Amino acid sequence: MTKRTIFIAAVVLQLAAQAFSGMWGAAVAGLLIGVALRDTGAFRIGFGSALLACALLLAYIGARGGNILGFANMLGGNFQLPGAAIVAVALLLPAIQAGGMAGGAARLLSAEN
Amino acid sequence: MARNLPLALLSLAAGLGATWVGARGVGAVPPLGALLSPAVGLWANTVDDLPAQAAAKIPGLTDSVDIRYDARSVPHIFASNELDAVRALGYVVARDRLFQLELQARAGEGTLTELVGDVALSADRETRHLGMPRAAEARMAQMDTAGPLYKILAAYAEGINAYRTSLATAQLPIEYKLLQKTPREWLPVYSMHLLNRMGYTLAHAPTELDLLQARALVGDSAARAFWDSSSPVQEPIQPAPRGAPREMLAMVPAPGMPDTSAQRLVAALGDAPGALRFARDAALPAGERFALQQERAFASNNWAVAPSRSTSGHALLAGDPHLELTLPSIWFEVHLVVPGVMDVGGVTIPGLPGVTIGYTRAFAWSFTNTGADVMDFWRETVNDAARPTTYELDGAQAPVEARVEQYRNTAGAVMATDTVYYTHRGPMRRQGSEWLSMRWTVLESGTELLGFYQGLHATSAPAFLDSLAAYYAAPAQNMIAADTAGTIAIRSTGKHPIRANKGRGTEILDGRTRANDWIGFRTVAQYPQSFSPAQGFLASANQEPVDPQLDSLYLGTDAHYEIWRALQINRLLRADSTMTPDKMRAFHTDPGSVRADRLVPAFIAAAEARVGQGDASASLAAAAGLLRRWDRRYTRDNTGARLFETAMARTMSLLWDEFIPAGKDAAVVRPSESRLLQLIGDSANAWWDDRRTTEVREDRDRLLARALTSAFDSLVVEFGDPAKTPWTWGKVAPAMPRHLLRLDGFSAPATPIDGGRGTLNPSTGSRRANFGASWRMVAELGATPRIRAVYPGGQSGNPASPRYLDRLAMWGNGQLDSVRTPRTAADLAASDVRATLTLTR
Repeated sequence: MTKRTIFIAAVVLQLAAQAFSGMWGAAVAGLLIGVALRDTGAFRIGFGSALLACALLLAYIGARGGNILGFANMLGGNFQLPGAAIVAVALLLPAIQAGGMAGGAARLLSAEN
Repeated sequence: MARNLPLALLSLAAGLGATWVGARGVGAVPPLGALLSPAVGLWANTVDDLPAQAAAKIPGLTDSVDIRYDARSVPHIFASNELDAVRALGYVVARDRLFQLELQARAGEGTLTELVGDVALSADRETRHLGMPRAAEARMAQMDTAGPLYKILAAYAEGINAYRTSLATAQLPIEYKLLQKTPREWLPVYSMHLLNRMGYTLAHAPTELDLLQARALVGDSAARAFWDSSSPVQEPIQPAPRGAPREMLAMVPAPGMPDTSAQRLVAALGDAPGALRFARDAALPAGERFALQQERAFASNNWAVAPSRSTSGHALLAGDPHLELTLPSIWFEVHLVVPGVMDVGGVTIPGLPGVTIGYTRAFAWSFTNTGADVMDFWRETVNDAARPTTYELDGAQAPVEARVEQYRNTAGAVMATDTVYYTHRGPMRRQGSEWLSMRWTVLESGTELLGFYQGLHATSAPAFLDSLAAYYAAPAQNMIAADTAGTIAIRSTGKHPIRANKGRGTEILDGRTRANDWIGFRTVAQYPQSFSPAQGFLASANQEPVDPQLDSLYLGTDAHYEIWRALQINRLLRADSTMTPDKMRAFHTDPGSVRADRLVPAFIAAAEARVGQGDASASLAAAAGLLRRWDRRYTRDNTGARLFETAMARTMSLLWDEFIPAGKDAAVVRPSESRLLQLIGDSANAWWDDRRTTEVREDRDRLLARALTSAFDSLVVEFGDPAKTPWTWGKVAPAMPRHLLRLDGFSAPATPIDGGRGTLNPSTGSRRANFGASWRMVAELGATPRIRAVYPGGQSGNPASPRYLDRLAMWGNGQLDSVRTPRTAADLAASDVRATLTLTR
């Protein structure tokens, strides 16, 4: 499989996992990605696929009429944060979860071991 | 391996750490993982807001119910019978206000800790110590489950629960997600808890301790002149036969020697929270407590104009209850139609199955709070000061009932336990070394809803008020109504206790004898009331309901009432015999103030007198100039009101130094502002002297000028030089409706409004207590009633909904929206239908 195919498969996995199981889905899917790849680059693929999947899910909400940035500003008001920071956290949290789990699992299981 | 392991562990640590932080939070950071998840978190609340077409099931329905949401998001419920309409009401209220339903009911039940944690423990304790949940439970236990009231409560619960159980996790209201809770099943008793909560909000105002403390400081005569007498200006709800207010600006007795018996009792009652000292404000310094009490402007206006004084020849009615401005609003607008049986619209309080303020095809009505004294205290003599089991009554020992109250945290574990004691009068609480029992009409209410439902079948304003009077106990309300036949009517409705020996309810009584108990209640004929009076209008604004010259039976003292808005609305109504709905609308936000008109000249005169006596203070001259240029109207762009308000606050704190106990730095009690009217005309009265300044004896002018100078100087520090940065009222005292959980991000932006303390549109611009007109309605009672209304906020309780704040701008600008009143679903034009909902079994 090419790297592009692997990445697309990872994004599909993350989409399904996050859509049905939220943050836990992102972590478990990240772990599965790491186990499947067992190679360097798993962190990047886990991170990127989770981030993209989260962005797509947010975009889907936007497409259904959700005012993502407006609501992010409202949420940020509760924490003295700008709305963009809330969106960034929303994107980065599953990405770090998935990237970390994927990278860790892949290196532990890599052929060099 | 050696090369991979550190990186592997580092990577796993990042993944697991992010998951941990997301799931559990860290420090002040809440668990954001689930909240920010696009699929199930908060983002999901930004979509699917009021879909254009929807269908749902309520198992208990007997027939399908058609609901049309109009362009203002008001659900018009068309049902074939009353109970189905009530089920649908429960459903639509839950659909937009599910979290509010639970929060408000828990506030009345004393179980907020289970939802929000230990931050609510003191509030829950107070609720339970007042006996509120016990009273609600007793009411339900006594209720006939085959009777109409129980059926209404149960039907409402069915509607709420049908919606609640239909929700997926992603659809839960935002607040539940933030608190990591799920909505609980709604039980009929919760409506009783909410009713009690309204009683607490509107009828919990004991003043016995105020009088006692005042007697302990300035003696019996002076204390009673302030706390045991009627308002010095009488503009009563039941119109007196005259065309003007009656002023009784008699000399106030000078402060005298302390009353030693009162001193002893005050010492025995102590300073700790208890029966007479409220835990909610206990942590605040005395000065702040007074400010907060004034900012809690629980008040309201309502008035009606007879056809003889309206341009259209129809009766007109207006009402605006002043409550805490919250998001979502305490009100939810609805319209219920059962052909041939019921056609009622207006606002409901989420949790109470009915329309509280509104209209039918025949009449409209509104309420203001009566504020009468409906809570008394007795000193009990108990057998065991630590754990009483009996109390002395008529020479014998009567048993004390003990009820154990457990408080649970959000996980359901017991976090605290209390025992609350009861005598035959009501809950008995410790206050210092004394045990005080309490009787309170709120604990004896519960059938109010029946009055509303029976009243909806009435065809005239008097018949509607009669239905309410037959069932309504508490919190007592000044109920005004007007009908299509041109009748206007008002009645202060609710249980008004009659004390033994012509008692006035201002004293803590000896509990050892039943002879000191209440001996009954006013009959309906004894309620303050008026029907189509000759003057052609009626008005209430929390003033003393009836002139004591006409009815001397005790209802309350000046401390229970406010005079300013009553004077203003009567002034406006007397001046105009060609009333229109639009003039009534404008009255709601009228910036005129009798309070400023009466008191600002006193400040200016005092400043001029002091300047004439050689006071060369630049601040005094600047302040007097600023007040002189002010037109005394609380428009949003005026620049004088801030100075006047601050000067008033300074005056109150300088003037009432006699109420500062030895060793304290702030007064423990303060007479009402209306007492200034009595003192202003008596420049050398001993009350003007500030005893803390031993080198000088202040008179009126010296004290008012000092307050004005001090106010000016402090405002310069706070807001800058007014010549360069004017103290624009709309900026320094805006309305700020706040989210129910006090979350700033979900609260409304500061909204400049016309109005202030003592005006018909009260505003103090305080973040601690933000009260104002929670609903405004003007009804013209022609053949087809025309209703216009607005409230601050929006129909949705979801902060992510476009319907959360969509009414705020209109409310802030003093405008009203046209209320749709379709008789059938087909009467609502397709272009005016925002969404439909069909409910079936």
